[in-house]
Amino acid sequence: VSNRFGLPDLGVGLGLRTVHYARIAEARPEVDWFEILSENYMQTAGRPLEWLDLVAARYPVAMHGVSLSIGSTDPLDRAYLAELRALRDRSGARWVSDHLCWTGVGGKNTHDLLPMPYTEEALRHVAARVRAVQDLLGAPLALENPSTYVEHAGGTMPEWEFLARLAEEADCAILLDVNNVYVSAYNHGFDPHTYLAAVPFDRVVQLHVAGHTHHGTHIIDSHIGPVIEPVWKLLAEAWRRAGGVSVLLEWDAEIPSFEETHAEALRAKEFIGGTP
Amino acid sequence: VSGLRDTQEWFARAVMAGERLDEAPQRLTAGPKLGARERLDVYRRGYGRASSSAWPTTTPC
Repeated sequence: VSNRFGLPDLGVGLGLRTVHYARIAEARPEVDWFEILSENYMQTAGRPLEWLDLVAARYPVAMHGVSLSIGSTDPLDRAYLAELRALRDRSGARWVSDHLCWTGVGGKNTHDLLPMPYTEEALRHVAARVRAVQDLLGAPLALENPSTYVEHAGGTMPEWEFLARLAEEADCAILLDVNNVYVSAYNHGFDPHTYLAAVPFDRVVQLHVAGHTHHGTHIIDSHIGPVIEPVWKLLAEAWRRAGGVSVLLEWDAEIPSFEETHAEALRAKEFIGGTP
Repeated sequence: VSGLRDTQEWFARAVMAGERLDEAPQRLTAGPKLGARERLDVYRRGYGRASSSAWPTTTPC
C-alpha cells in the first residue's frame, strides 16, 4: 500500500460490462478485479444485482459512478447517496469513485460530464460538497480527472492545480485517468507530463486507461478500441510516481469478446511492475 | 456561488437548447485547433446523441 488511505493495489482489472456477464459466469476467468458502474445496479432489482452478487463473491470490486454531479450548484441528491452507500455495503466495494464535473443544473440533466470552471469559488464549492459526501459514505471518495473539450474563460488555475488543491482541502482520493490527461492535453494544448508532475500521488488510489477517437482537430474520450502507445507510457509514468497502484481498462463501445478485452487490459503489465 | 451558478446555467442552456450561443467566445477559450463555439459544439453533439440513447453510453470518462 502506497497511498495515504491504506487502499490496496488490486492489480490490473477490467470494467465489468453486461455483454461479458455470461462469459465471466461460465469461465470464471482469472481477473485481478472488476470496476462496476454504480448506476447500473441502482434503482433496479433482479438480474443486474444477481450478476453483481456473483461477481462480487469471486472478485474484488470498486464502484465508479457518473451521476454524483459533485460540481453542480444544485443541492446534493441525498437519496442517490443513500443508495450509493447501500450498494457499496452490498458489493463490498473497496472504494467509490466519480468524476470532477457537473452533469446538470436547475434540475435538468444533460447526461454528460461537464467541465468545471477552475476558480477559487468553484474550488470552495466542490471541496465542501466532497466533504459532505464523504461524511455520508463514511469513507473517502475518489474523484477522477475528466476529459474535457472546452475551458471556461474565467478560470484562474490549470486543472492539475485545481485537482491537487481540491484533494488536499477535501481530504479526498484521486482516480487518475491517464487517457483523460492525454485527451485534454491534446484538446487544450498542454503537456501531459506537466499534469502528472503536479498530481499528489499519495492520494491516487486507482489509474484508468482507455482507447479514444482522434478527429484531427480534437480527441473524443470514446473508450473504443485499444489503448495507444503514448497513453500506455503515461500509465507507466503515473504508476511509477504512485509507487504501485490499481490499474483498470475501460472499454465501453464496440466491445470485443471478454478474452480480447482482458488481453488488452493485461498489456498494462508490460508497462508497470518491477521497482516502482 | 453566483458566478458558478451563472456559468452552469448558461452552459446547460447553450448545450441543451442552443440558446445564447453568441456568448461562447466571451465565456469559453479557444483551443489549439478549434474556436470557442466549435468546442462548445462538441458538447452539443454529445447531448444530441445522449438524448436518443441510454445513459451512460455517451461521452464516457
